[in-house]
Amino acid sequence: MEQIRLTKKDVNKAVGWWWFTSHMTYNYQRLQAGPLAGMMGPILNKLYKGDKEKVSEGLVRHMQYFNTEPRWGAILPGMVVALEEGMANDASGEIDGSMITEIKTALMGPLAGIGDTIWAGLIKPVILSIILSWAQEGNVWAAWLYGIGVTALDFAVTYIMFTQGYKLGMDSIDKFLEGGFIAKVTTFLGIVGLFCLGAMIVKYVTISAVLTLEMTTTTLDFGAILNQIFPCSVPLALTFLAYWLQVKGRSVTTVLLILFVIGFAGGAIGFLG
Amino acid sequence: MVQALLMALLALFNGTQGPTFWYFFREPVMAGFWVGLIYGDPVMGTMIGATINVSYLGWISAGGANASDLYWAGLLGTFVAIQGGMDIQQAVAFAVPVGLLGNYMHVAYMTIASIWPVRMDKLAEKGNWKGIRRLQLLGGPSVVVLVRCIPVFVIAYFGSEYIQILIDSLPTWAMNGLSATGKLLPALGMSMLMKFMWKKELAIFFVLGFTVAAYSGMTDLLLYAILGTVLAVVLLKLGFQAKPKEVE
Repeated sequence: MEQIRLTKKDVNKAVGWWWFTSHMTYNYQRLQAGPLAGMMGPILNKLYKGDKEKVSEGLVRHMQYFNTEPRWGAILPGMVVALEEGMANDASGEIDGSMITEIKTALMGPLAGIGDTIWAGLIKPVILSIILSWAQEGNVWAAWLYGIGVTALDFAVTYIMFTQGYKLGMDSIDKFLEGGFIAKVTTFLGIVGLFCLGAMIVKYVTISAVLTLEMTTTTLDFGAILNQIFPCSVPLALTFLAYWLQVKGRSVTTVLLILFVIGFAGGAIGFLG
Repeated sequence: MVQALLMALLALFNGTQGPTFWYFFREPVMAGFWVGLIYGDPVMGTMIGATINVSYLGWISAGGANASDLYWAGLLGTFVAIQGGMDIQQAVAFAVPVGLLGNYMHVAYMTIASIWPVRMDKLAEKGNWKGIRRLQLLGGPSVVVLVRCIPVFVIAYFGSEYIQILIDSLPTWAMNGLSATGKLLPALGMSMLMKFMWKKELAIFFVLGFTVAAYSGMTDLLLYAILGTVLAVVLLKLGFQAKPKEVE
């Protein structure tokens, strides 16, 4: 059987496509099936030398429901490319289409969980919070630094994960998970993240109690007293309230409305400001 | 007219899904910059966008669920603030109802775009991979034009004069309420992050960060990022490790 191998260029083109279009036509029905099938198009076409039937078989296979985190999870489409290449060049039939689907289905969930925790939960907010404090002071360059910097970082992570996935093929995920690498990364980011989060509440949640009581001899300023006992206690308490409501299963939209009502009523009456 | 058209174009980039669009047009700090540029004050736009952005720091869209509409909170929140001459805190509060409105648009988008995979299935059966790629590139943006560009154009074109009138007619207590809300809402962003990051065995670092900032008043976040990194590196070297979080 004639061997048809993918070149570095083929793989790079696949990464580019995945990076740019992974969410382009995102939808409730199939999420990332479209970008994956689209990515496999030219690859299948090359591997099967334009054999319509084979190409179509592969496309149908990858039009099945798929969804993972696009950056760290890019290891999975990388593996899929390697597996399809293996299958096309494998005469023994050891790799078959259903196996590829099984691997995809098994790994997309865990990878989405890990990826979201690291990217959306830790890296992006920490970068963003620093950028925002500059941008709030009127620095336009900070907004652009975010746009350019995070786009570049996003691409770098996607590229590395995708090519690693392609290179390591099957056992890459096991190596990845067993080496304790993820645990180290999440511990590291957890410490930095929570440490910054504490300071961020002080910086960004600027609400305070402004209630004052006119007494006969003196004016009682509750806000000042509260701040003397425990600085920034109002922001901390209200942030924990919002957190607790979410832990209790309230949706973000509900919590948003509750905060809106507290803030608006508190401000209108003159308790908060 | 030209400004309204530019807003509609911005709404297309703002609503299109993909890393370049997310970071250059969707993130409220950048959306604010663009809106400011269209209306002649990019610096103000950036400041408003950045402030709105804080409430959405922990924003995440898992599996297409939209926690609250980041897209329009930044885009239209800044628009309303600049057109109405509001102060920044009030703009943040105003971004809330706008964001909720945008949420419906997101659901509409995700639902309408669900017709595309059906087309793709047919193309896949014929082996037409070029057709799938074309649809993947154009399908989503075409829905964005429908659910986001057109409404934004209408709001930008007809809304400008009414926003000023509406805001001028608000009584003082309502403005106070909006200001307080604006100062409180970043708590939402913080709480979303907290839900993500919170680990009992690491909570002590949260206490440390908060205490240092609250008592010292130093709130330059780069300082905390550096200190936190040093702390984490040292502790990991010493073999400290939190239990790996369960992933769903």
